[in-house]
Amino acid sequence: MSTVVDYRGYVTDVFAFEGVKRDGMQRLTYAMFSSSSAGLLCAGVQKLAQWFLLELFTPAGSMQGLPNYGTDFLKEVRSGQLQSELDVFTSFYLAAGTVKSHLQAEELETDPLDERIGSIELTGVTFEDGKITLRTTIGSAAGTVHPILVPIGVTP
Amino acid sequence: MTIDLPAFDEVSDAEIAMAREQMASRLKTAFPSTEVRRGVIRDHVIQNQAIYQAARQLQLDRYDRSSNLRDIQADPALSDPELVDKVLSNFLLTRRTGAAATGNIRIVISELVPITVATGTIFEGGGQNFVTTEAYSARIASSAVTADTDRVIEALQDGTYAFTIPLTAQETGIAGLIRQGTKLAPLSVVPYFVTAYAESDFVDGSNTETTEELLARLDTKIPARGWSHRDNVAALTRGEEAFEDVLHISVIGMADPEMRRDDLSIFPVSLGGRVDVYVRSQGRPQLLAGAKLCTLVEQNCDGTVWQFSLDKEDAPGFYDIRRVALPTATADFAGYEIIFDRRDYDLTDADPVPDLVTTTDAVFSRFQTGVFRFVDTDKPSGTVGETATYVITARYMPLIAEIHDFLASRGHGEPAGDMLVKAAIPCFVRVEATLLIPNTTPSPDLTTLQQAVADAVNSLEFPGLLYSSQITKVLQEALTGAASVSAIDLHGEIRSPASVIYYLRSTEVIQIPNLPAEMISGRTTAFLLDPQDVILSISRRNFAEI
Repeated sequence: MSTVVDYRGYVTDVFAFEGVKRDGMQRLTYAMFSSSSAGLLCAGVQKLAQWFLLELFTPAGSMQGLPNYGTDFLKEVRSGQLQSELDVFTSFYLAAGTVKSHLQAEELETDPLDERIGSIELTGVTFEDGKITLRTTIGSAAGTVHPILVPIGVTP
Repeated sequence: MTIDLPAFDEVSDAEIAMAREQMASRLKTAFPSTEVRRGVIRDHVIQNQAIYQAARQLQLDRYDRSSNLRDIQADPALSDPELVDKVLSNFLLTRRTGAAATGNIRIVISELVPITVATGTIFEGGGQNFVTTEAYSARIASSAVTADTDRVIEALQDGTYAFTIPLTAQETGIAGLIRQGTKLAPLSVVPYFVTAYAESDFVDGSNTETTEELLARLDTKIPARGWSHRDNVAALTRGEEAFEDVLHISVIGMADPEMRRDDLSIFPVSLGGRVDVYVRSQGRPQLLAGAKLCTLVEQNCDGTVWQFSLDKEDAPGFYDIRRVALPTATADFAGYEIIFDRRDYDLTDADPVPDLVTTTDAVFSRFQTGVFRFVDTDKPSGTVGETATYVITARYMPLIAEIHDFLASRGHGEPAGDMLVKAAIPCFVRVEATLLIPNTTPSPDLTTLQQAVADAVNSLEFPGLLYSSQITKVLQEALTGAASVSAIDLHGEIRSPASVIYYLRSTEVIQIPNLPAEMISGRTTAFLLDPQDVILSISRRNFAEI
């Protein structure tokens, strides 16, 4: 298990998700702090995964001054355009490819390997009433792979 | 600071990116372990602050561009008007605000009955709205007049009746400067209304000055106001508030061939000590109508010949008489023909008295007078010596008397010489052109084109040359699609101080002839163009589709 010492010398970002625990799968909410927590910092693959998710789910062109940041994936999911697994896989990989290219363009030689993007995989899709759940894995250049379960509400 | 923070959507992505990089760099320097390239800190802290910072920088840039003369002159459109006003106030320049045009209209009614035109009655004419600022009562007899706002109804020749009231334009601006004869119609009912028209040119209308126009007057403020140089004379003139709008001034002095007043000695040299100031106070001459008592002097086969005179105060510096008609004449009556026009001058009460030896020296100056005769073809006979009132419309350049009196005054006058102000010698222009319009293109607004051409010609200073290409450029820029302009036919008619008419005509360029002995040259003679003298015809063409 890694500790803070393992990340000495890393550059940290504010952790954008509330509810993380040391072990196991946890349900996270998009929040930088809560009534019980003043917020956390993140580094390493956690930061890499955060970067991926933040850009994947930011509508393209929605941030002034960053016209190329973001994807259309969330818009397509929420609008109900994605009716099958194939639709989801197609849209996801298109968006993931965009994000990956952006991440790679910004990487520096001095970046730790676990903060450089390796692979992005969509391993499964589940359709439920009002929700699509994605099972993804984020792989770093260090070889580590981390699963992320992403439930997304869908506009009926 | 008078420049507000711009809206965030006015800031470009490039400006935000630059601010973001600057902030990220500084944050990184201060906090080396903080991720600034992307992520939460970048998206939620740096990015938002960068947008504000970029807007702030834009605000500062605008302030900087508006706070010095160099940048204001480089691009007036980018400068904040309020700050520009502050900068230029250092040069005693004040931006002129718009003013509404005013003038009199003649209302024609069908019956001789008392009429009241209420306050706020709107008349529409020339594309503009004009309003009464008081209530006016038209009385059927002068004995019924009881107030300053009462008007006496006069009978016209065609069986209708007419009275005159003043109007003010509803909107400020030069668009309210309608010409004499412009038809107007009331937007509310005026009993027994037949027609209405402008009795004289409307005056005093002006637009709020743009920054470009304000900067153009800077040359009048920087030079010292005095008589040492031509620019100084112009600055002296325009430095007076009443003359700030004077368009062009040309100073003729010692050794200028157009100066005739300083070489009248036995010595064949220019002795100096004389200055002639030629003034174009506005774009086109003004038409001024007024009643004059005329005297029947003879009868001929065409009718009766009447004589009247214009003294130096009637229309100072007048060019010519445009119309003579009875007060009862209808608006569309063109007027009686002038058959005699003799100019003279009157130095009564002049102080100082300018050196005027010949009448031609005084023509178009404030001392000019004139005696005129016309033939009234509608009155075949009469008694020699009988008198009658006619309405005389003179064409003149305003402010000649006022400018002369100002420049001749003891506080502003040329102490070492003799000064005389004259209206620019007129070259009345007529332009003829054909517009080639494809059948698929709607017809252009000819009135707008006429005005554009007239404005372009009347904005020229004393260029001496008028090229047809200048007219073509104005027309072509105003046309749309595949419409184009045919050859331009330029006509010019110069009225010399000696009352000789010189005709110019060309399809390429008309040039003021160099006749200094008659005081005519490009430095004394101005091109004057009335929009009604821009004759445009439309030729429809089929253009083959590609």
